[in-house]
Amino acid sequence: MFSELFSSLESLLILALILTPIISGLLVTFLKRKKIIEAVTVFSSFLILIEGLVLINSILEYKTISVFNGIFYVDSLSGIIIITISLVGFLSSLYSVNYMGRQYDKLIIDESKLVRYYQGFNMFLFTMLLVPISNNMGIMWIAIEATTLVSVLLIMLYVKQSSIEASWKYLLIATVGLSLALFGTIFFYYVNTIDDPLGGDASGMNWTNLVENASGFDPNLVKLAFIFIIVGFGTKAGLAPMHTWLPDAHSEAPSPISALLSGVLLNCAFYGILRFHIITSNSIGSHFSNTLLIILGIVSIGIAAASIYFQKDLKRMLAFSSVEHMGIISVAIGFGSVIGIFGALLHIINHAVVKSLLFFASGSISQKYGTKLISDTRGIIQTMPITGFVFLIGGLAIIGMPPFNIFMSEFLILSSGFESENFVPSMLVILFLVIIFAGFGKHLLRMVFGSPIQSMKKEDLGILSIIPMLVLVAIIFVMGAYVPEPLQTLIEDSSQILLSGDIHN
Amino acid sequence: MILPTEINVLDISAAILLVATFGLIVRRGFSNWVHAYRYQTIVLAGIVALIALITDIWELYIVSALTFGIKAIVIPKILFYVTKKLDSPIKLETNPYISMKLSVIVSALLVAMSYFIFLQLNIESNEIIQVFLPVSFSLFFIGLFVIISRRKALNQMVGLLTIENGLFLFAVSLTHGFSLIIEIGLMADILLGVIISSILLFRMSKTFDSIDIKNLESLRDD
Amino acid sequence: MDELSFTGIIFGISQVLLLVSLSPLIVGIMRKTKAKSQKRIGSPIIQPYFDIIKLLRKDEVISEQSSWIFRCTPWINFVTAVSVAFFIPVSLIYSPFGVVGDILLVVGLFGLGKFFTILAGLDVASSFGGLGSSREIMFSALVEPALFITIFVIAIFYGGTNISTIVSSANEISFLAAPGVLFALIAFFIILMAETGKLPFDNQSTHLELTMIHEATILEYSGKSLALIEWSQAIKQIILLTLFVNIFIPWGIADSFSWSQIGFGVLLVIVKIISLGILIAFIEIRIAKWRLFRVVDLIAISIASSMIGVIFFFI
Repeated sequence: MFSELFSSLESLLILALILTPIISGLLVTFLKRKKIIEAVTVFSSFLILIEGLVLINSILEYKTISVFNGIFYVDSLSGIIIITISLVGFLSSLYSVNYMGRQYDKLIIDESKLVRYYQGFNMFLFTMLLVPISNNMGIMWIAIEATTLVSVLLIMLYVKQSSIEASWKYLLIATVGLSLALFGTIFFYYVNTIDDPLGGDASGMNWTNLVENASGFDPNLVKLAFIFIIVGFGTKAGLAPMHTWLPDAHSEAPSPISALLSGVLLNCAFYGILRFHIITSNSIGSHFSNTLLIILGIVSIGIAAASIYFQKDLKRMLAFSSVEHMGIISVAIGFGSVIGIFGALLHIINHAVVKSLLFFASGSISQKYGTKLISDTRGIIQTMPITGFVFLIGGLAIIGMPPFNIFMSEFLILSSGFESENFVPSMLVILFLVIIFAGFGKHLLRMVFGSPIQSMKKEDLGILSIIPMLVLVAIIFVMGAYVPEPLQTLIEDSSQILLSGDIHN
Repeated sequence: MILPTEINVLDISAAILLVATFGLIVRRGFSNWVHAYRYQTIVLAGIVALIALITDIWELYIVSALTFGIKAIVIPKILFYVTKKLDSPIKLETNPYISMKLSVIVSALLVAMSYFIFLQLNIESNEIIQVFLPVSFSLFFIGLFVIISRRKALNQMVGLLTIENGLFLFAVSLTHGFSLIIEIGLMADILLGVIISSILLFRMSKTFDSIDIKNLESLRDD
Repeated sequence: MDELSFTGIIFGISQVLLLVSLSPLIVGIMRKTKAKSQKRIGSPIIQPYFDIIKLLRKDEVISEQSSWIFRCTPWINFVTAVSVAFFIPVSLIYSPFGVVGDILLVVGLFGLGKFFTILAGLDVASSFGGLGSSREIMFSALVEPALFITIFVIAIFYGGTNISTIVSSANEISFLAAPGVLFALIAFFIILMAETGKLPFDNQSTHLELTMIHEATILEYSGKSLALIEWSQAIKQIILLTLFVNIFIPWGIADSFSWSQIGFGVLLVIVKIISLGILIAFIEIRIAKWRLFRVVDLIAISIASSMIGVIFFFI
């Protein structure tokens, strides 16, 4: 094992990727000084970003990387998740310095809370990074369950009635949902080892192994197992009607954590669905799982549309928008054509970028205005010009205005819907998108351009809150114009994996 | 004196597990639930050991010992500590959403449903699967029922743990244990979950002066 | 052995006499157990015999308002209880008079006795009697369905409702091979507590108007009638205990007509009944009387348990 450790760069990289947040978490625990723990966390998440990018470079080179006897397995699909985790993670850590520092100055939290926050932050990154790199579906499940536990700790950082309520609901619903997913995972393992029931070892639960044997599975059991999986991981991914915990949890968490929850964690859970979707498609054809994904996706978009239109709370509105976008991704995967899947994977990245931007901006806005109510937040562009500007860009991007990135992926998805002759779902998606456009747009314009209710000092909230947002705005503009070459290759490769399940190509 | 020659150990242990699970539904005191959970887990550990004996897989003995150690000793200890420390004057479930008598009947129907579902599944099965799979479904459904029908957060927590026990029984009886590492990971997750929800319970009782979940209804979209 | 041979009849009658004469003893033992565990000395074990003898020698006071129902109820109670005793296998797996000994008949006969007790409570038109009667009838209405489902479970597992059949097949298979019976056991135990007026349901040692049920219906009786009623209550209790013991833990019961086996069986069944009685007494001192409407929860448990028993049979 140790000889292998140093034999290849990749094994070292993967190990570094998961060890960095652990070490950083330990350092935070022992150092305890505000400035130092901030620096440690920012540095470690920067390191994770670099490691992630290097890893993706080697993914592009080798297509698949399997190390430590197949415990860890990385391909382009994992690459997409890793890139969102590491990018949003780094920016979020930068933003945390400003946001949590401000909470600290206002005496909302004390130093021990701050230590707990950064411990939780690092552990959260660790558990999320474990999801895309593990080959064993059982370990992946454990990692996703661990993300729930860690993020509950982060949400209940403030001892407030509402945050206690949100974390209790989140813990309960997500755990029950994930236990269904484990039922499904065990069923898959069972159908895989059905001929050899007593020789159960961990490799029967490996994704690579499952995909290889998929064609021989018992179709009825696979259908049942996939229903368990989609309900289970769907709960965590915020697909309606299992989404009820999501608006509470995402709106009560500290804003940097909301960005991670909405932009990244949902993708991690959806990644679980994708992996099993591939197995199911290889076993019984993609029709069954595609239909399920489309139905759940449409329901999510519809519910989100209604909730956004009548929303009163800024962060809840953003949370429902996440439900909407997970629905769009799910529908796109369900359409099942090359363009649709390409669009869906692109949408995962785009949504992560835009949603974290919006949560950063809303964090600054609610700190400045002292409220999360939409009706009390007016004239952002006058009180905080830069934040107001990026909030406007982010808002326009999330409802799918043309020059920005989300428009591009939504356009791809809808055209694939018509191309694959899913007329009714595509029309429904367009209808709901129009409602969301109207609802979100109405709130957005009033918040940005209205006149402030009371007079405030014209000032943004510190350079460290601005930089992450500007970086994200730049990405929005770039991705709106074209998809960079390496990213395009990455997404194309993963579309191939999703379409054929062929792991060697 | 005549003793029956054929003793149906599997069925009897399944029946005892069901009886232990019903303890959760029929009792009203906080510590009664923890006791019920502990008995249930001890029976579960015994069943795992039994399966280990039948299938002759040594790993299952370790799993059984782990179940006993963590879920029958450590977790009840934590929960008892929580019950003792909660400053709630009356440690009883006073008016659940669904009354005790109705919930007992509903749980019996849920058990019936589990057996029905199992018959629909059509799994080619050996005796272990046939006996324990329906029971594991029952545990799952009863746990879910407890979560949605009770008002006290602690009761919901024990319901969650019951679901988890059902899941565990499902895994062990269907696949005879997948791998030790994953089982240990699962246990660690559960332990962590129990600790976190205990902290949450303390906070809840401190902020709301009770652990009644009727307080948890302020976040909603009207 | 021919079922109605001379020895058989003698044996059957002596078995009935055994039950009838032992029944006050069980009551005494249970009282003594409770007293001991509450650190009281308590009355001697044979006190119930003294009570009955004393009451039999005393005069009766009968209300002028009462009708024939009031006067014949003690006799009906006693006769039904004793006739049930004829059908119960005690130390042998069948009863010599077992041909007609259906478990539904047992339920019916007990029901008859209870029916007349309730009527008698109403007959004298005292307020306590009416109160007790209404409570008693509410309980019977609840317990009856639970009892019938339990009987159904036992019947489907043991192949019939004839008590002799049940006990002989219980002796062969028992719940070790048919775990569904385990659920019937729980259900039957709850019903046993209800029917004999044990603690969460009724407190027989109180004369507090808020709580008493059975005591209220028989409040107007005195002298010989009271003795008969108390005695038949004791017989009913020992019969139910015997049924419980022989259906659920039958091991050691004689399976053929030989004196050595029967002698052993008699001893064993007495030991089992006494230990069950002591167990019930211990359960009684650990719990308090429940509110009337919470008692329904217990009946629900009994019904649910029987239902699961049925499920276990059909898989």
